[in-house]
Amino acid sequence: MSATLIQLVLAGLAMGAVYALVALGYTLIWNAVGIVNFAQGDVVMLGAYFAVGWCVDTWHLPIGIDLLVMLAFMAVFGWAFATFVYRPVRNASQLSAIVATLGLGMVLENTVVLIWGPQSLGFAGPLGNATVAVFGARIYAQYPLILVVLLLLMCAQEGMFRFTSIGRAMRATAQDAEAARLMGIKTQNITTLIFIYASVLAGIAGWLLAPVFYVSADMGVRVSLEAFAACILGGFGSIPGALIGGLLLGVIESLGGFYISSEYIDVIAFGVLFVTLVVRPEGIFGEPQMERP
Amino acid sequence: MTSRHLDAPGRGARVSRRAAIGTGLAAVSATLLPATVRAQPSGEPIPIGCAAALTAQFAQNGAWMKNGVSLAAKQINDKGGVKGRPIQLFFEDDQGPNPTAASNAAIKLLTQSKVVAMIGPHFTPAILPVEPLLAQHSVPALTGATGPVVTQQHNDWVFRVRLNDTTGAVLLVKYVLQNLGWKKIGIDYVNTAFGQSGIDAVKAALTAQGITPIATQTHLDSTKDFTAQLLTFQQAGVDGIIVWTDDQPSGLLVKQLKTLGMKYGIAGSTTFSQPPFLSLAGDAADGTYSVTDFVQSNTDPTIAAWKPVYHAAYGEDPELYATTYYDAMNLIAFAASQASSITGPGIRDALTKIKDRPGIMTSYSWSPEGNMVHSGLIAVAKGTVPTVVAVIKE
Amino acid sequence: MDSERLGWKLAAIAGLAVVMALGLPRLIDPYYVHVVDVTLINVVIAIGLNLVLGFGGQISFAQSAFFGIGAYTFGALQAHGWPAIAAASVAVVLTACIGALLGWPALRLRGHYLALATIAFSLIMGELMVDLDMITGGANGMMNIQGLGLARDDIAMLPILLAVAAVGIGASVVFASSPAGLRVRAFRDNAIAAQAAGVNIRALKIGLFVASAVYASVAGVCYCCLLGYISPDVFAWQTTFAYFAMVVVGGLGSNLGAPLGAMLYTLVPEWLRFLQEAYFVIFGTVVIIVIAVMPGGMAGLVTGLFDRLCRALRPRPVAKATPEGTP
Repeated sequence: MSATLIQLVLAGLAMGAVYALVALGYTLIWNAVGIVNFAQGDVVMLGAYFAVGWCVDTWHLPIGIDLLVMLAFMAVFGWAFATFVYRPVRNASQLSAIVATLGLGMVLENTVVLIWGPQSLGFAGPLGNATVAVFGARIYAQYPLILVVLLLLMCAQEGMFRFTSIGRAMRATAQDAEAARLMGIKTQNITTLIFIYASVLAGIAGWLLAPVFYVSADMGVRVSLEAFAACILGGFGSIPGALIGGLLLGVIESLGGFYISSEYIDVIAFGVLFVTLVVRPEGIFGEPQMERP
Repeated sequence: MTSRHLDAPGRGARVSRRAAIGTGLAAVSATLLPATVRAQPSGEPIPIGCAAALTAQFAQNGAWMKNGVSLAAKQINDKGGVKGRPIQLFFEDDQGPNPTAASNAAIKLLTQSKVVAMIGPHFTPAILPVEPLLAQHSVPALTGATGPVVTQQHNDWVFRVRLNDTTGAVLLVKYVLQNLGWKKIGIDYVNTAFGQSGIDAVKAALTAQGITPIATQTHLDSTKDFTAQLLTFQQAGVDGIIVWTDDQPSGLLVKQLKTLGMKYGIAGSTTFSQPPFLSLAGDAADGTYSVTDFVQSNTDPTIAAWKPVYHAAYGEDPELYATTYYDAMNLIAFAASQASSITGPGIRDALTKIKDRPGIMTSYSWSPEGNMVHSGLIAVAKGTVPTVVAVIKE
Repeated sequence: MDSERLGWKLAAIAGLAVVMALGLPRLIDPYYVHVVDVTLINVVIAIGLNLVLGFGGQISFAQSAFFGIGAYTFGALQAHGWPAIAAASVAVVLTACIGALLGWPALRLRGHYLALATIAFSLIMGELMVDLDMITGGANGMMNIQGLGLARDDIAMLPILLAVAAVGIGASVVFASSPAGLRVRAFRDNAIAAQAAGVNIRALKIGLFVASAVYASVAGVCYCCLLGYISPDVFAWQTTFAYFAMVVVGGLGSNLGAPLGAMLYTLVPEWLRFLQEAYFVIFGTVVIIVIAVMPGGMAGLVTGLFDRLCRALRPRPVAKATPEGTP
């Protein structure tokens, strides 16, 4: 296999893993409360800014500690999100909920600039600029790290959903909140927990992304959109769908940009998406079109 | 109690150490103390407008622009203003390359603040819709927009205070062909007004030398992964690539270029010698060439004297935007001092008479399309420090 | 809604437009006339979006793309020497056709699927505006668009834009109280019931897309005539959020709401200019608060107050023969 193709596929998979991480957040929140959180990418950005802007640059925490501190902050943010943004709009129409999350995105993007200034921040991350050779192609070591973290998270999540009572409660609420409540599950608390979990996931994604892409106020917007597209490609509401859809989208963009054209890369990627929506909106894993319950 | 300084305004560059400290103090104290302590000009204020990107994606550049303009104005006022009249600055947010917001900001400055001269908007899509407004209200504007189209509108009221991309491209192309010996060249650009017109200028310059680029690639400001572009260039077997882009993509591009182990050279637009690129690319910046107007580490005595003055006021070293617009404010003040009347048309006429007027960045001479800068620098990054290797005149 | 009330409403809209046309240039300075002009263009876009969003209940992010297609078609034709009226007509018709083409696959999609499809459409259109530089002038945009020869003449453009906005609002008001309009709103609230009642969903859905495209393209032509310059930045897909905010904050589905939202969105940043860097944060927060606390938006607030005022002035309960509808 030519080194070029390997490099392209690996870069595509790495970008795709990022999309998948964010798409996972979308899927969880959708399954639990029937809202598409258009601000998910901006939550990723918030995590990155907190970790790099304060933990590393200002407080000079060592690598690893900065991650934990940031995740604690993201958990608090998730709680605030559930309490102050989700709870008030949960009875509004789906459209209103979307606009509310878009508003949240705008608030986040501009707040980070107010706090940390308009300049992009660099971050060496745990691996610095280390590179590895895979099948003869050189890539950032951070890319395989992202993929490995994604896989570990998926396994851990699956384990949590199956073997812990909290996890089972979360999954039940995600599948059918009404039935879950009838069975005695405190769905209000579980919902908040889901938001917290999704925010922590976004924080991890931000921490993994920061060394490769820098931390900037616009880092979340595109990722939001592509993760959303990944969900649809893979089948909205399906967790394996989010994963496969993300990886697939990343590889399509990478290969398309090289073999077809880097100028029309968006047209290609979103053209594919558009066609998918017209022909097979339920995506790869075939969930029927899900409306808000 | 008031002591009038007899220096002409606009000579802010060559200052003695004591005056530099004094200026720095004045810059800070002018915001804190009432205006009784320093010599304050007492005439009717001269309203000068500045449209800058105070919010949105390019807010950092807008902040630097504001710094440069404000510092110059404070220095001028501390020396007695222009003909005894203080400069009064009005800032409006144009949100960067946003035609609607830029028009709004300009109209506000022109009709409400009734400015007699304007600085900015900086971005090409922002200054283009404003140019007819300038003619309508007879007010000149100085801009750092580099798109050649800005001075091709047959508009007598726009003045460009940076090296325009046509000239910059010609200088860079000459350098890479003659000094670096590149023969097979690839080009890459950011798909915005700036990138598109810049790369068109590069293509024209290459054609004039009988060369066609063997690969052309493009990207967006938001592009994070450049693998496709970099591999395409490698496959084409280029000696080097010429890149016209903004701060964020420049850093990522060069980092990934080194990571992927690419061996071809890279030369590009101004961003490749400026602090955002250098801090983002880190060691990967080594060996990158750039055509630019201003380099922080320039050992030229004028620049060496300017750095502590700016640093005293803002706590960091000056970069391109701050310096450009500092010079712009001083040019306006100089023109106002030479003008028959301090009005839009008066200042405009005085600006057209400027020849070899020294500023921090370079010396300014007006030429009929509105360009005031005709020479540039080629710099190469040694490690993370850009070093000037050539000063080229048009 | 009876036709007499409808007549009063239309008269009120026309009257307000005339009063503003005559009075504003005398009362406020030229900069604010310019702001009003820009607001009127936003009003037209918002009304169009309200048709598909508020009446039809379809989440369409395509408004910025339609705005751009209308503007660029007009500009490109004018660059080839076409007179303004002809160029405008072609621009509107072309955009309407594209709206129909988009409306057709949109039939199969609902909710966030439709949202993403329309985002994809807007994003692709935005790219094409930048890439097809032979037609569009590329990222530099189009300069010196002739239009009506009134570019940058804010005061002369004011009555024209007022007329366009008044007609746009009027048409939407007429439609809302027409049988077709009532059918559409039935469909919005309950798709299954509408289907059971035999309402022709397909035609209505496509019709709404076409209508929103028409409004947006008219706004695009107006923008060209007002500023004389367009560039892809004006039509970037991210700008759609602004139009959404206008409609939702103004009051979804309300004819009063869309103009109100457009006015708030355009004017409030002017009042908040002193906040400079922070006003987007404030704006985003306000959007969230309005959605959470006032589901009827600003219009709901206004009509609620108006109703309470009427009741306070007429304490005796009045038997109502016909049910109240939203304006």
